Amino acid sequence: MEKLVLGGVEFSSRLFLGTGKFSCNEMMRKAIIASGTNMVTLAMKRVDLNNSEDEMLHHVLADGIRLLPNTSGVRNADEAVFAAQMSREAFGTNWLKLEIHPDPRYLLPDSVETLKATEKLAKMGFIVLPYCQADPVLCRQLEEAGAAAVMPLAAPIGTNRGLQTKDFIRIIIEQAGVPVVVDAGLGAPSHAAEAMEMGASACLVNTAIAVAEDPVAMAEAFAMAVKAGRMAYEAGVAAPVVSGEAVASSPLTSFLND
Amino acid sequence: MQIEINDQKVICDDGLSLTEVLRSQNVQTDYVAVAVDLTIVPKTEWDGFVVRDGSKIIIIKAVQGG
Repeated sequence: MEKLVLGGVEFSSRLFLGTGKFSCNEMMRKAIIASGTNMVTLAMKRVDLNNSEDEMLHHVLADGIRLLPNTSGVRNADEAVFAAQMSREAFGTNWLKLEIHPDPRYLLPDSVETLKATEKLAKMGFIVLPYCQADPVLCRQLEEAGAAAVMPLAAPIGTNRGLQTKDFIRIIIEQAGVPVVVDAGLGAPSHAAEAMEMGASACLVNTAIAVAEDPVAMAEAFAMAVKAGRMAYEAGVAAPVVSGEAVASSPLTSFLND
Repeated sequence: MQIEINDQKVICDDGLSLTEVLRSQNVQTDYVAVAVDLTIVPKTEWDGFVVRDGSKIIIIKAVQGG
């Protein structure tokens, strides 16, 4: 299977994992291992002076696991740039999942601010992976602005609704000169497999794994689905017969009668 | 002097460096970033950075997130 190269780095797994919503850090750690991922997201928050919490990073840091801090919580490009710089200072990485979603109800990304921030951050040397609308025109613009990948949403964050934006993601994949990572809304391994069969470079999954009854088994199931989907894409998925009429796969010559 | 750390009012001695302020508040300093009045102060500069009265300090760290 062809290895994914993103931001100049080779990834053996095409499944990226979000670390939100796990019941505890230990469960998160086990799911990360089971998924075989090489990259996990994390968010940032202000330190609470009155509470010392279990540090999630201690459960994440491991050889072969790259951190992808996100900018969740910012409302515009300026705030995203500040968050990115804080992230680089805190975690020592210039990789960034850029997410700007000012509307808390649907958490849909603000395309205008995302494009502005991508341009600024790429110039500042960040490896920018913008979470974005499944908009082929926007994805081209993000690429031109310096994005290392584009991460169009399959469906709104945490909805598990699968590839609602399938037709547009197909166009994005066809046009992209950078990896296309399908992010958000993938609720079942079959959704991830479908995205990969279409030619997506990778999938980023969080909720579907974290809230599963058995997150560790689900992480493994997603890993297999992503791998199967990619293998199928590289093997060449058979085209559907437009007419819907059967095409025999066994010889129709009679052998019982003349 | 009185300063704010993550919107919480904190009283501390005058003339303390950023390192000393963080230590006085028992802030865990691995994998955190600190900004004073919205300017990021790299860890290498904490020792020499004198915190002034009224400063607003933001300290962030990693949490679970997708």
